[in-house]
Amino acid sequence: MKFDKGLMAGSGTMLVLSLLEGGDMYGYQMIEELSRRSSQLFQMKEGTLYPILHSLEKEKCLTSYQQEAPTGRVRKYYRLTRKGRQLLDDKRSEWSAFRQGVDHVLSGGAGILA
Amino acid sequence: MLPHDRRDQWLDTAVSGIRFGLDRKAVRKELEDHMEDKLAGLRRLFPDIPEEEAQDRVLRDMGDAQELKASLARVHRPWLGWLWNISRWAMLLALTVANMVQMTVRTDYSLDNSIWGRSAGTQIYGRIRDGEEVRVGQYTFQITGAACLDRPEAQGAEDSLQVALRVSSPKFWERISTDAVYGGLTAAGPDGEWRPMDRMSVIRYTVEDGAGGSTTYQQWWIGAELSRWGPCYREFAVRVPAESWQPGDRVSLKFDSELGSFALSVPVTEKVRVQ
Repeated sequence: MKFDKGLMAGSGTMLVLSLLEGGDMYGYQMIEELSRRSSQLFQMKEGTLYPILHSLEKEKCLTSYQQEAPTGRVRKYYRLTRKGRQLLDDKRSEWSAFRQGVDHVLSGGAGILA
Repeated sequence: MLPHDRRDQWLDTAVSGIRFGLDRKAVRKELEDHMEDKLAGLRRLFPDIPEEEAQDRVLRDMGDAQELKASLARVHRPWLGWLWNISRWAMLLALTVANMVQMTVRTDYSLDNSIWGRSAGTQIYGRIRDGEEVRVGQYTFQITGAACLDRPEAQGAEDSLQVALRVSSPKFWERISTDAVYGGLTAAGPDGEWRPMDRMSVIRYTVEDGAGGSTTYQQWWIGAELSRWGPCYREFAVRVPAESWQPGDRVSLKFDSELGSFALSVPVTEKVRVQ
């Protein structure tokens, strides 16, 4: 299933932060892990991922470091900072409220957005 | 176009909006590593996939390089990169200017050594504008001054003939080494004796002041010494004995080193009284 680009872009930051909550990762690993966890539903493009990562890093929500893999390839790993965790909490709350609102509208119930 | 060329082109395009060179390089490397990971993942899934097809699929999956370029350029704010570039150039310029100023400031001892320096008040003398010159490799050797230094022989001093030899190079960081000049140069005055310029002869003499006091001077009589320098040149004062000198007698210089060989000469017509 293919999603509207806007949907992925809007939730991309939260998804990336959420992935890094479980441990440090490098870019390719994040795309693979996201795909795995969503049962191949989310195929985040590199063109979406890297601007998000670099933007979060500049905002000090992530830090990065280089580490050599057993294959000898040096990879850039990203790590969640305290500020990043706070942002993730905010995004989760935001998402939860948004989802409830959308669900209410779709189910025809009383709109909380009113 | 070969797969690797296409990949390089994609990477170059994707990072071309990042103005800050170090950032650009780091992001390019990260994306390149990402491609390598993707390629390795593809080969794990399809071990028999042809190389070109694998590269094509990776490039296709990476998406539109132009879109990524725009996104990365927004994140890696261009003005910051420009600011960095400008400050870097400003720093380089400041260092160059400081270096040039330092190089053109003459030391006290060089004032005394320079023929047209200020060792006789503010008088400028001995300057030769169209002296003989020769080009050896990237260096131009030219005689730029000559004079007879008339010292108080009655007190034990000796007269010298001094020639200024300027060695210019187009790049200031490639000026000739002083050792190369000292080691390769020999000079001869009116007596015709060729003397190596890698050593110096020094004479000490004392001048009475007429009031019971005296001053001891040290005179550099024969030899060569770096006397002036600028951004793209070094100038050497070369001295030989002035014994039996008559106005118009020539001083000859020979240079022989791994850089090359040449001979130059100059007539000495001017006499300058110095302590």
